[in-house]
Order: sequence, then C-alpha cells, then structure tokens
Amino acid sequence: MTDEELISAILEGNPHLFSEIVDRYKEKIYHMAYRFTNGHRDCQDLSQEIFLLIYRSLPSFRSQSSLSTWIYRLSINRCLDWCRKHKHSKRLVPLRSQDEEGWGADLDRIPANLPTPEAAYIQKEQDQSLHLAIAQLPEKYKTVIIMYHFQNLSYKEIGDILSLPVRTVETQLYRAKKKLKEILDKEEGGKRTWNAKEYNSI
Amino acid sequence: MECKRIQLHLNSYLAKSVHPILKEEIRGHLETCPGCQEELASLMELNERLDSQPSPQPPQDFTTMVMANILAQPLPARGRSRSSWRQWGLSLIAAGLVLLFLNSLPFPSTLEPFSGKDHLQPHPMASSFQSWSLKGFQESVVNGFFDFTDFVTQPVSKIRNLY
Repeated sequence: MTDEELISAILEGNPHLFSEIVDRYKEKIYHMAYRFTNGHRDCQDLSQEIFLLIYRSLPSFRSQSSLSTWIYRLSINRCLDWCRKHKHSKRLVPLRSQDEEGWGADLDRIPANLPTPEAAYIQKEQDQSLHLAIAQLPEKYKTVIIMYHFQNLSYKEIGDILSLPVRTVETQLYRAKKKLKEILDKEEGGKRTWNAKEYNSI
Repeated sequence: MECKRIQLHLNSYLAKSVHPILKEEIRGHLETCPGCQEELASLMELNERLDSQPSPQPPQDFTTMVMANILAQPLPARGRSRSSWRQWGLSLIAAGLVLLFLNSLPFPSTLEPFSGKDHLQPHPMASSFQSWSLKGFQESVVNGFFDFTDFVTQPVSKIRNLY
C-alpha cells in the first residue's frame, strides 16, 4: 500500500491503519524526541503527541512532498516548540545516572557490548560527554546534527524538511560540528593529533 | 581564507559527496596544510563518536499506547483546510481590487451603434476620456468602493460561517 493509499484508507474510516504509520516511524520519532528533550522523561509523551498531531493533520497532507518529509517537518516543529517551552527550565542530563525523575534512563539501559568493563566504562563516559555537549548546542545546530547523524538524512532531505538550500544545510552542519568540538575540547581537554593512515584511506 | 573554504566542505568530503574536481582540490590542499589535516582528523573522530551513539528504543507497547489515543479521537475530517480558504479570501480581495480599478475608469455607460456617418466623428469612447473630471473620478471611486465591499463581504461571511 502506498503512502497516499494508506492515508486515503485512514481518512475513509479506517483509523486502525494508522498503526502502520506508527510502526514505520516510531523509532526515528522517538529518537528525535529523545535528542531534543536531552533525554527528558517527557520524550515518550512528546513522541506520542507527535503521532497524534500527524493523525489530526492527515487531511492537510497534499502529496507535494513525500510522507516522510512531511512527517519529519511536523515532528521537528513540534520538538522545537517543546524546546522553546522548556527553554528556561533547561537541565542537562548525565546518561549514566537516572535521577528521581527518570531523566536519562533510556540510554542507561542500552548494553555497551564491549569486551572489557573498562572499555564499556570509557565508552559510556564518552557517550555521556557527547550527549551533554549536544544538549548545549543552539537550536539550529542541534537540529542539523540530529537530522544528519541520528536520523541519517541527506543534505537534500534536511533542506526539504527545513526549507533551506542544500548549501545552507552544509554550512550549518559545519558550524554545528565546530561548536560541538569547541564544547567537547573545553570539557574533555586535549586534542587528537593528525593520523596520516586515516587521511590516506579517504 | 582558503583553509576556511576547504574546511567547509570537509564533511561532504568524508561522506564522499563532493564533486570530483573539488575532491581533488581538497586532497591537494590537505597534502600541504597541517591545520586542515588536523581539522579533518578531529572531524573524523567526531563523526565516529556521533555515529556510534546508542539509539534509544521506544517501549514495546508504544504503538498500542499511541493507537489507544488515536482511536479515542474523532476521525480527522477531509475537506478544505483553513489555509486554503485563506488563499481563496486573498484571491477574492485581489479580484475586488481589479474591479475597483476598472470601475474607476470613465467608460461610457452605453455606446452608440456605429453608423456610416460617424466615421468622421470622434469615437464615443474618446469623448468620454476627454470628459474626464475630478468629480467623475470621485463618483467612480465611491461606486467602486461599494461594489468592492459588496463583492468581498459575501464570500467572507460564508467563510466565517464555516467555523
């Protein structure tokens, strides 16, 4: 069933078919909500809200863009609304510890699958500092990082979703990573040195 | 300046999505620029860290929870969205403005039928242009304004009744 057929069938009185859309996009949307909320326990409510919003907005889907682009656009906008609403109560969440409100609990449950406990510990420490650094990024930089690295979208897809030229997406991603490196360097200290072997492999 | 331009494209270079000419240019620059080499290395490390970040999974009963909310909702209604009605409203206003302009032109209300003798006389349309006066213009504007409001208010009231 194509996207258009699926939407038509839902609007013609088969709301239970919406579960197919939920199944197709739930992992991406949940991950997006997780990153925008910095691991807040609200991420589950937020991702449910996003699906409700998608359902209510189905009649306005006009096939001018693909269903995925349209869904991402609605989702990003809803996540940004959440961020603006919670701007003044911004809290940074360490991944490894779950506080009394349950912040950061989800990633703590993920097994590290590393050979030694030391390696697993180091990996978790690094994940944590990266998570905190991403949380500190300005909204527009965080958005492109999440879309490019965690949603695996191309520059073109990001441009379509955010209504930006591809070049602007490339520039924003460059600046976002520069800023992210600055934050990481500040928090972790030290810089990695040039490795000629890696350069030759490109 | 050159380094800044090269560094801007380093992410695309790593993703192998740059044009072959630019790729060669970047490669050539990297061979001679330690600063950009370092930039590339740290970018590679950052990408690796970002791409290896664990992906949180939704709870197993996520779809069930969402569907419970969805099925409690009324079915979204098909039909024109509010924005498309707005677009119609704007089109009607534009049409009203065009009518207002046309109405303000001093065309004669009736045209005499053309007769053989009239070919030496000025055309009635020409005489009406000559008789252009401020008074006539004002009357046209006032009439045009009422025509415009009559034209626009009816569809607007219809739109309002929809909500």
